[in-house]
Amino acid sequence: MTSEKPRDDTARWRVVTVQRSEADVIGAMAPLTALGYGVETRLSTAPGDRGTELAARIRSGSQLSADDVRVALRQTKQLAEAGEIAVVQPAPHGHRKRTPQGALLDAIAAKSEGKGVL
Amino acid sequence: MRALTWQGVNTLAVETVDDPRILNPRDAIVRVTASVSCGSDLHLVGGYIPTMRSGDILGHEFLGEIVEVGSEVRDRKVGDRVVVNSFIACGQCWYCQQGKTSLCDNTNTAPGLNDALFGATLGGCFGFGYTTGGYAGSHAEYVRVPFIDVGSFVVPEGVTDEQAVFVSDAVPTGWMGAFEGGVKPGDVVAVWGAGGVGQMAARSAMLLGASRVVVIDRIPERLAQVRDVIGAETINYEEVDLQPELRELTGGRGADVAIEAVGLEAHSPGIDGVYDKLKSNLRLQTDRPTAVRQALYGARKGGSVFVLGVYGGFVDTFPLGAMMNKGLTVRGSQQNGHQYIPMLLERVQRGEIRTDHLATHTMSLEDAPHGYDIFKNKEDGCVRALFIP
Repeated sequence: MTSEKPRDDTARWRVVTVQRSEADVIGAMAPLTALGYGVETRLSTAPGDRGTELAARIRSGSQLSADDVRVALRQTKQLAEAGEIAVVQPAPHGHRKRTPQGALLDAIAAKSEGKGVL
Repeated sequence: MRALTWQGVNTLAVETVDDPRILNPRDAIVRVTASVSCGSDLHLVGGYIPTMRSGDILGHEFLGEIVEVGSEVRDRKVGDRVVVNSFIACGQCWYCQQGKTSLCDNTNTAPGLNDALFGATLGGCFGFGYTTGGYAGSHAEYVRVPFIDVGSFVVPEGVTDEQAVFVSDAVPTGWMGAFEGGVKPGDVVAVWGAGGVGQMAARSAMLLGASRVVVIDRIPERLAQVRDVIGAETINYEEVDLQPELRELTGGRGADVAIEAVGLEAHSPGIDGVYDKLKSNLRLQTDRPTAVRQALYGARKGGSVFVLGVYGGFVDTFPLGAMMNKGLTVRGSQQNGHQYIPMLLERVQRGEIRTDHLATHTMSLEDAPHGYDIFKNKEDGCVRALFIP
């Protein structure tokens, strides 16, 4: 049995597939470019007429988090494909009770945009 | 405006809340003229899918009049009378282009939660909690509709609100189960559940040429609607032994296509029903797969099973052996109705699909908590409660 050092998850490439040409994706990359030098990107053609694979990873020494990169990748994809970034707030709602479940849901919702399998 | 909100497990209230407003250029604001209860709402109301925040507005099956549009809206205008698909789709991503609009990549604002639950993120949906993005629901005077050009459909002349409202969800969901379940002329089709979706699945199977369609339930008035309005056969599983009855009815083969339209709160009089309910009550499983299990057993060798009922998590004692050894094709999906709704509205207009009988109880939005009460408990013959804001 071998003991292997865990991979540095922060430094790996995170990828989304965008149903657009590379030129269109480049034109929608403002959320990624806003992260500055701390993030490195690459583009490649997706197989099966599925557009472009857009990858990003955090450069060594950067203070960016994985959540920052996930959010920027998703927003770039949304801008390239749909032309806008999905939002729900402010959404109308009734009285919010202060309950443990409600606090947990609020915490999950607040972090959800930057989490996930990317 | 007034809106029906979720307050906690099995507690609803009508409150005064802020009006919605346009947040993105492809949005519109729709004045809701009819919004209907759906069986999947009960999973939220009862806390089985625990992603509702107190104060969230329920409702996802509705129609209304457009009263305001965003700057990038092209194909809809103020004054249009539209039925709106329950799922919110961008129309541009790969999934939308394949017709799988419930899988839209771009409309769910809670990807982390979805990825954790399902390994991927489904699209946004009105009034279904954080699982589908936290969009406010339609049991209200007004609702914000993102991507209105993609998700709304002008209701043709001669189709009433009571008919059209079900084309938002129940009709396309039923059609999807029959069509994508592969119903062909001559097939024998079994449908579990005689609610709105089950009835529409049965009618769709008939329109696709099935030679025999049987709907399975235990509620006499719903089974009567299936016989009298839909024109399909029925089995009351509390009166007969279901599987032998189904076997006999299908010439010993089993159903060519088995469509499950029940969902995670399934009822069964047998030992499996007791087992499932005990485990779900003890939170040892999130969903009760009773009807799915029956559908897998009731399908013929090499047959097709389509799961339309909503499930939120994990189940126990799934008959994987039946699925594998019988060579079944098992599929499931949330509703991908955008591609079907124009055709379905025409069928409703031509009288090929009847829906108005489903709205057994029409009432003011102010009475919606009572509407959900009788809907949940299947009292007074309630099949669906229709709310007029």
